Amino acid sequence: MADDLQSRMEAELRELLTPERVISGRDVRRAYDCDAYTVDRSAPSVVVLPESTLEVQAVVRWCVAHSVPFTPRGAGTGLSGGAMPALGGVVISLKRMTAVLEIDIPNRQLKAQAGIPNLRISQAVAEHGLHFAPDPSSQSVSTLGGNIAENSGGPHTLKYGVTAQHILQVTMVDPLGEILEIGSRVPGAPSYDFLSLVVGSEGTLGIVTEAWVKLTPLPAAVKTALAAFSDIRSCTECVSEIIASGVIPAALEMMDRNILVALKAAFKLEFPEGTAALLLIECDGEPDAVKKEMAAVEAACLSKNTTSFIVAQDETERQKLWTARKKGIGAMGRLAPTIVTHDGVIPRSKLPEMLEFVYAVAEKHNVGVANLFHAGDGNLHPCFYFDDREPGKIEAVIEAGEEIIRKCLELGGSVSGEHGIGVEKLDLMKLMFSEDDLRLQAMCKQIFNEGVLCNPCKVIPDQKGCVEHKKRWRGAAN
Amino acid sequence: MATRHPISGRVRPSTIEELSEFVRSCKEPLIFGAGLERSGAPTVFRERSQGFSRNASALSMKGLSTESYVTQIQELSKDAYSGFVRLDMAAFAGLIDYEPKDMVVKVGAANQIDITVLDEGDGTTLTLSEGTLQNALMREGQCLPFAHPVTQFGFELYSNQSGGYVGRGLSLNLPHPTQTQCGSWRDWVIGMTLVLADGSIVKTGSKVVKSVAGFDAHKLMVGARDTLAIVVDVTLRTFPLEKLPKPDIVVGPAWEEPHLNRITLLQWIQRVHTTDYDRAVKACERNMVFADTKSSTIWCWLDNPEQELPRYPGDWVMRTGCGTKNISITDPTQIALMKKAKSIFDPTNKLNPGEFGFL
Repeated sequence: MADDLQSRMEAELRELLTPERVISGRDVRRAYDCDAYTVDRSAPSVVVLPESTLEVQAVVRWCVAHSVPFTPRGAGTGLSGGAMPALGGVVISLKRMTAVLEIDIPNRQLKAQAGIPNLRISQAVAEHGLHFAPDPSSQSVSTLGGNIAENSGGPHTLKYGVTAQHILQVTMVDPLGEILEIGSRVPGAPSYDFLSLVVGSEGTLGIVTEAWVKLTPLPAAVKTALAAFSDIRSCTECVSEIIASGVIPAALEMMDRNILVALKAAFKLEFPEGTAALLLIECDGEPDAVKKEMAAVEAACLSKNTTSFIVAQDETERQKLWTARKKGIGAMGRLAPTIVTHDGVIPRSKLPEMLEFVYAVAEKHNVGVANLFHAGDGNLHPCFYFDDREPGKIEAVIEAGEEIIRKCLELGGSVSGEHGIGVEKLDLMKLMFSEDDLRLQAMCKQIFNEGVLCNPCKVIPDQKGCVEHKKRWRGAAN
Repeated sequence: MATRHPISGRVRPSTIEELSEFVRSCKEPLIFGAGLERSGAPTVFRERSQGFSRNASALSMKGLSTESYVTQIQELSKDAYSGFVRLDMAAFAGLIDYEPKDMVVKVGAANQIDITVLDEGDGTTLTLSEGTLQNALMREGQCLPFAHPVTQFGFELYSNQSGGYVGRGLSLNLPHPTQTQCGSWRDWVIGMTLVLADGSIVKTGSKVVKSVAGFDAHKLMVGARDTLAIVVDVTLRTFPLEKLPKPDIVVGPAWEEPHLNRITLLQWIQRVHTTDYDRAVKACERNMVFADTKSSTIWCWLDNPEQELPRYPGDWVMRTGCGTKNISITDPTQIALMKKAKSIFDPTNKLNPGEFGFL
């Protein structure tokens, strides 16, 4: 952006907010040019930090009046480039909007600003025996608004559902700067379900600034088990076996050998000799039901030749079992300096075939791969580890990722289980959806956003004014 | 190409391509699915369509010769269906794909949902009718988690709660008594095939239980009363039958009413905040048929279409048989967005026009 325009933008936005909440400069541009998906980058001109819905509205209206693109951002933990300012402009960071606005315990609802970290919602109501059920692995950092944008899942999605099932109503600044309330605190009213469009819209239909969420009672009892297997196939087949037994576990997570190697290197965690894969299974609910469910789970694991089945005896042991799952990605840094985590989803019954394919693809491209994922949902996260200083490695990993997604589609899955499309998977949308299908998607978007300023170039491929920028995003990463 | 049936006057496409071609070329309003239910805003199309059904029934009782019957039916349908098309989606029934291990089923929108139950003495023995979705799922120990009709209610409340057919059920999105524990159509639908108002055949969603790939257009169809697109088939997640919870129901004075079919004639369904539930139940007095404690929803029958029961902050009500009061949407933001959506999806207002009153 030309210097005089930049100066004017900063000055006018500082008048709308306060000077210290409008930041710019080289370091700011670098810090905000991507989210946790670092392959594509595009710098903003300026970053603003509003503290209220009205301030967000003021900034959006300024952007509309001056035809400046704007991109919402939560914690920047997204994994598909959803918070990358594709056409530059203004990044509207909601990280200062962290207040709990209202708690209604009798109705089991809570209202919060969208910048609040997910975990803080549960912490605010824990004393009442309630929690906010969606628990993405990033929950200590990722924001409610980001969870809404990506319809986040997490390990407990299998039983408790994704974010969409826990959002009642949102306050949103639409792409023209109008404040809308979508949904209702008493759900199910006869109408079109616009809330279901907004949740999972990746910030392209407007900027959610506040939300009423459902609170879920904490379970009376929880039992967590770790089952080890000496071969991958037995482990993946066990997943279907557990579900077929009629149990809906609260969580059903899988980790393979390479994750265990990383965990041992990073945290000195030990696992049974010869373990090729682990299943972490959690059952919760009424104590009698939990006991029965865990017995059924154990029977399923034994039928698939588990070599070790450990049930946590108390909360400390339970946390220890979860350590392997929660620290797995972080531990990958012990294996290589660069990690790229992919996201795909397949029918649960296709897990065995899919995992074998993932290993074959990694071998073909000569990169390491470890798998740590939500087996109960069929939601894979192959983690490729490599040194990005080696020539050609980034390209190899991107190609490997595409091959994995193509296989997911071939097996009846989807291009994304929970990370979203962002910019990462724009081209892959054309593999999953026809031209007419994508036109339907564009019609949905058009209900709220007919312009090109609000988080442009995301989700729908080949949007006007975006195609020519793709090379710049990739080039900026280098 | 699909054409009007010479006797019934309905148009009944037999393939999705025929449906697409017909919709593309048709300039008249199409009435189908939710557009035939009594729970929408009153429309002339519904009145005439239902009038035709009543007159046809009366005619069939007269003992006419076949030739005479056919001639008179043709006259009736010509009058009834002049200016619009009664679309018959019956051909789009059947299980398309079902993988019990994945707990996902794909089914034609015109497939019946319900099981038909015979009471065999102790009231707990079930005979499953053929061809229904629940029948197919229950054979594999799965279900769509509507409350079980016989063992939990003692009569066939079930079909009234489900909407009868898959497509109609999701387009009406009626509340049901295991909603809080098990979710509803919005939570079960994961994919659809649609025919749009311009005849395009499109897909939305997927067949995996967790997917974030673009906008969930299929969820926009839930509760849309068939006004945005024609649902041809639906992919649903299923529920383990043994986990189906018993609903937390209280029955009201009207439960014992001899004319139980009245609950489908003049119906009032109201959902309130949990904190208003006890008051709302008490206030309904003799009108209450039953109430679901978990979702704070009350089902009542009304003495007359004008009757009003007490309202509470934030609540909503849907009615049947009460004319313009059936669906009452007053929020200006919601109305504006609905009009916008309708103008995008169905710019010539071809699909069930008038179903929401202002649309």
